[in-house]
Amino acid sequence: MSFREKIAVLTLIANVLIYGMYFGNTAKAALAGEAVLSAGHMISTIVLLIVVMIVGTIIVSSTAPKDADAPADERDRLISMRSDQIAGYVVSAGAGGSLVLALAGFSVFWIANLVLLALVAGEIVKSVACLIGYRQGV
Amino acid sequence: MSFMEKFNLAALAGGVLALGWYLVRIVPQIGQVPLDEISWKWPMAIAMGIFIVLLVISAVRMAISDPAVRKADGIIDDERDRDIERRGDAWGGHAMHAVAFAALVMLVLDVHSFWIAQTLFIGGMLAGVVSIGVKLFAYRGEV
Repeated sequence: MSFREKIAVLTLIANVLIYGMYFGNTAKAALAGEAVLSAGHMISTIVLLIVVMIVGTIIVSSTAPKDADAPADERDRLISMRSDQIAGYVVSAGAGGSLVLALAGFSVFWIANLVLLALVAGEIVKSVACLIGYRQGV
Repeated sequence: MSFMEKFNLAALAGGVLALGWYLVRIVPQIGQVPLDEISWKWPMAIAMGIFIVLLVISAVRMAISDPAVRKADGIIDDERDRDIERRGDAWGGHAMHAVAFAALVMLVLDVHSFWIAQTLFIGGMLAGVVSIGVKLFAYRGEV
């Protein structure tokens, strides 16, 4: 498995686990009638993901330093571009949905969480597309 | 000029028209009346409608008028078109990420919902312009 595939796996697992917990707790709060945006909860989740990604990337890089330093080749660039393209569609759809919520007068809680969900879904889809690209070609 | 190149040009023109129409109605109200009193929801919905209608009309008109398109197997012509589409969409996707993140920061900072909606709408349209701009430059061999 190449360095870029390992990073894609790390991104996928970190996003699913960390944001899975965040959205699980948020859904519980919403169902309990406490649909109030908790900026502290959201920010601490984002910071946790950043820390996990930095530490994970350092560990993965240290196991294969040559692979980590190798410049991206044509295939890497093509897979990255294809993954970014698909992630862009997901984020755009989510941002469009958030705009519709804003137009419909929904509260900040729902709009902010849909924007965050769009960004997270974009990252997850990007990682999956990247892994599929490396396994099956673009 | 390929079908996709023409379609991108039409999308750019439609986007600029819709955004311009919207801004002409909203910008003069900013600073003149309180944000809560600015009527932005219907103009925004209409601008989105204008953009979508112009896009559909352009696509249908080009598909009917261009014989090469009727003969083609698909809408996307060749490997170069696909590569350019990917590149433009990837750049547009990066721009959309930035817009969504900016909106999220504004939401966390409890900025007025008017500004958040404007960021998502105007930012989204500009991300589309970035995407189309990259594609059009790529068709001219400048990217």
